[in-house]
Amino acid sequence: MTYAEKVSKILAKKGYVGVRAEDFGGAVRLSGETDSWEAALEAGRLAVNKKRSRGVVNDIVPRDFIPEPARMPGITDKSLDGFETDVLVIGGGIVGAAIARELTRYAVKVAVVEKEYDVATAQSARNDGMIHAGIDLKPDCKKVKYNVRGNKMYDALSQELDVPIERPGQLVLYTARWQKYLFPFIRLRGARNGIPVYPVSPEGVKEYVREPGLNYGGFMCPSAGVVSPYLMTIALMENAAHNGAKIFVDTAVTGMELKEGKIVSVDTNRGTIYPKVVINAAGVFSDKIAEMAGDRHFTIHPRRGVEAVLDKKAYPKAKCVVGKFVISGSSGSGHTKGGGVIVTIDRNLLLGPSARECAERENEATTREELDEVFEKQSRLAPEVKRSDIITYFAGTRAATYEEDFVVEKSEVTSNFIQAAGIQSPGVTAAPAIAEDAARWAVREVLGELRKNPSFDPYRKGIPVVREMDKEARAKLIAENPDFGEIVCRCEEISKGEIIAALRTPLKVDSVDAVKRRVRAGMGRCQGGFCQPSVVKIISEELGIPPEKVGKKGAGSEVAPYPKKGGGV
Amino acid sequence: MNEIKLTCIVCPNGCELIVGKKEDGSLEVAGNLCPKGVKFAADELERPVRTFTGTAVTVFEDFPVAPVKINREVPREQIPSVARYVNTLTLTKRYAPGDIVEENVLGLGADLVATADMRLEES
Amino acid sequence: MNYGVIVIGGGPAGLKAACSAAEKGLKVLIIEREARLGGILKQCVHDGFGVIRFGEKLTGPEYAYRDVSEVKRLGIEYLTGTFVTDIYAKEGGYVVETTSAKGLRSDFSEKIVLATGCRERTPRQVNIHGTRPAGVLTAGACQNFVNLKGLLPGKRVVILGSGDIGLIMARRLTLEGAKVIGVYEAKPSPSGLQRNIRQCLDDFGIPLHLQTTVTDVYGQKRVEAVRVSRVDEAMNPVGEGEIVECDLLVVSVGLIPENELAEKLGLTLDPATKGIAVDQYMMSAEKEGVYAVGNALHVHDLVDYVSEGAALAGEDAARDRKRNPVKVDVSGPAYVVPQYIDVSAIGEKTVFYLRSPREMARAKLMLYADGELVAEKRFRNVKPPEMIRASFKFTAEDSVTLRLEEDV
Repeated sequence: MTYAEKVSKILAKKGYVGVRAEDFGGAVRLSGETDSWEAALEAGRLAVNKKRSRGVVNDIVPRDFIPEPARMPGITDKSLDGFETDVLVIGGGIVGAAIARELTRYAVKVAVVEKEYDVATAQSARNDGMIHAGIDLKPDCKKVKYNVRGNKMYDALSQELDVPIERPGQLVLYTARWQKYLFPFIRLRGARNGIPVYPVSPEGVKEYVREPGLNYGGFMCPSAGVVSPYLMTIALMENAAHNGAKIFVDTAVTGMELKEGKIVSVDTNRGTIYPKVVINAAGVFSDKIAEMAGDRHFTIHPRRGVEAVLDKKAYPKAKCVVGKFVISGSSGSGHTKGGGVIVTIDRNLLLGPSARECAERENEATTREELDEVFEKQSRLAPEVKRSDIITYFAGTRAATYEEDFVVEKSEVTSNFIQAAGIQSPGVTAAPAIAEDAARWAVREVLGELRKNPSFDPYRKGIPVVREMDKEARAKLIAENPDFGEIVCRCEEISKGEIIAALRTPLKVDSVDAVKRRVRAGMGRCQGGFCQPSVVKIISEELGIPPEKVGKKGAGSEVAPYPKKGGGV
Repeated sequence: MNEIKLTCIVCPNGCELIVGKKEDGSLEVAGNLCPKGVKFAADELERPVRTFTGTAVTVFEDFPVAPVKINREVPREQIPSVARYVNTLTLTKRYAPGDIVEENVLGLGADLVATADMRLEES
Repeated sequence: MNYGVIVIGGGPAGLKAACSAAEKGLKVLIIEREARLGGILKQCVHDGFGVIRFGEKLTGPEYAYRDVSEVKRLGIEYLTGTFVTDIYAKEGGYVVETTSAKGLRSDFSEKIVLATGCRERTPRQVNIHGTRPAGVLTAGACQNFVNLKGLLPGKRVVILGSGDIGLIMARRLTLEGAKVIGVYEAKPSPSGLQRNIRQCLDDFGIPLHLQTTVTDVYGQKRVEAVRVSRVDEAMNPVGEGEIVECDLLVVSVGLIPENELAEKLGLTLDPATKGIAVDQYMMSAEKEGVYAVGNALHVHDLVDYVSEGAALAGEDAARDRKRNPVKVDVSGPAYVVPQYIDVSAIGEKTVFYLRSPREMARAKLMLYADGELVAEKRFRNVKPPEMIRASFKFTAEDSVTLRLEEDV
């Protein structure tokens, strides 16, 4: 019996009458209809078998759900028509950014297309920024392989790109006394994957959590760290641009032309691009890109996560990443890397993330229910954390495949196509390692060898952070440029100089949220109530655009769109 | 005798007035803490008046708009016209509070007055 | 430089405290983070300020101008565009470190007046969910855009919260040509002054929906609609609610005193006021020489009382007194400021500022000194949004009690 036939049988037995399974180039493709979106999802899960199939392509049409089209850029022009490049990276998240930078180490021309107004707006901005140790990952999957490698690369990356990281460690708390007897197994598993762990006594727990709500001891993964995931993405992309990569935002891929198993051209809203190699780093849309490239063997079923950001004043309540010990079951439901309480690099605590399957790929709206869930979940870890500590919350969608593993490969079907797809947690950690492999495959395809770019400069200088400078350096900076003396965002102590510097970086940005991700203006407890009007004014003055045209997140999101006088009244 | 309830807006006390009309047409006002309440009630029933405050656009970059007011109350129904009119003005002088920007706005008998100190500081 | 007192904040509270201290002969420095003195009054272009203090209705900028003129007349030193980065106690005084375009600076003073104002509660602090598009602003930010930047952030407006700034903005936006669809308030009664409901909403036919809140925001780039729902007594939304199309959501859901500097000094905050605990001269009960005034101390609804309290602090900063602060025993009010009475320095009059936890048609405020009832005051139409001010002449030795009761 073929695997597809077996899946058909399983589905029939489970009552999926309208669903068919067929072989699809080594993957299994499901088609037909189900009453609900949940049923289609469940059918996809039932069809997983990593040994017998390349993956699940789920084309079941649920009768209760009409997918929204992807958010598209507002611009349509021909500015990129006829553009030629050696490598085209699709997606400006952390994976695409890491790959782009890695590619610039070699003697190839690199371009990146990103459909949003800036890099790092989707998953890469909407996660907890953990550099995972990887202890909770199953051995022998791509996730753990890239995670452990990526984790070790972060110190060098931090130093080269001037993006701070810290390794406060991840404390995993037992939920029952007997669990401490599992520690030898945990240590063994860690050793197999090269992940250090050590036990922490109930007394030791209190050094990290001021008032633990749950205390049977636990274990510590000291290699777990934190980074600002969006700042790292921006830094990688800036360094790629500095080394010659072309970064095009507001540029969405709409189709591809293939000839004899090769991608010839890539259509976008800004014209047709001619790349020699295409790399898919398209996040929640990576299966759509794979389909365009003729090598679809997986399906993204988005999984939402909600996280709450706490006031910095709550920091002393937990001083490292704290999670609950979960005895890992099979893949499938209940996917989050534990989550819990996370100390960010900026000393905010984060609560979350939650994990909930979600039909829409770009549904980044939060709900009361999910926030309540996030809060309840952590309340056993650090009950001292109060709801009133929450200053904001956000949601993101993870690019989960049915196999729950990364798709990092050189395509076996389309010769000039490379996939870095289905990247969800621990994608931030894994990205630099994935990038090494993806870049090498691409360069070999273009050049036939790994020829270096002799002028590659691995260094990038970040924007000065005045609140963290010693007095002498700060005074000197202000003397050179008085704008660094003038504070605009009072909650986070961000100067006008930092905001202007963000507008002068290699990736040209012009939006309030783009500034926020670069320098944190508006990320504090007043959430921009005070500084937003000033930030709008600074953007307007620095870029020479009228203030009413300044957007929160790109064109069409003007903060105060009507010049008051003379017009509308 | 029919009673009308009004909130006096003369001062922040915001007295809840109960106004009755006597048979001879005169008013009986209760609930007021001061005599201004009686006058307010009379005006409010006869011909309500209001003041206008707002901003006018200027030619100065550090003061893209400057606050202004009218220095006398005008009939309430005239307020939207005053607002529309003020929005057509462009101030070209740096005023001090109390400076008259324009006399007798729309012939209503009230002057438009600057309320902020727009003058540059000597440093 | 060395000063007798450093006043942090150049809004109405700081300006008045500075003038009072200077008049008593102290060398004063005002530190203001914005480019001009005047604080939030700069953007409050509406009138209604100063009726109690000056006996006339002034606009915010006019009220500020009077104090700024006084600061200049008295020759008080002030720094604008200057932000306090650190503050700490040192040898009988305090060091205040600042940054500005001119560089870093460190000043010393014996006394400190914290007049840092307040910030607004954000949409997320009232559990608004959905997307995060442009077009969701706090009332203060909206007021800044309209009144200082000359920009209109939307033309079809939903306002959440019936606080005074929200009401004022309803009128302001209407006069600028926007359509205010309605003001929604989760509580069963309005949060702002009744007169503002009358002159800002009723005058323009803007409906006020009580026990109704905004639960969700829709729209990707800019707000396209919000969901409004009725709430139950516990303020939880009930039912599906309804969708209201709009391009601007203005949120006016309360103010929180800004006390990050007080916290740097190690002062604890009164959970009821979110400000520090002070005696009748606004001096911290915990730390000698530190005063808090204005909305940093507790959120006021009238600037006139901000100035009154600030004057007490400024004058007091110029004298030395042996302190014997006694905690005021409170029963009835939601909060009382001052929280302490320095019984060794009770002056001609002692002013209490308090709020009632609920509406009362008639209320009675009783003051006990050392266990004896020494004074009684009666108030009409007491409401939580309207602060009660009560001034007493009394003395006490070891206990002060304040009781607020329904007067039947």
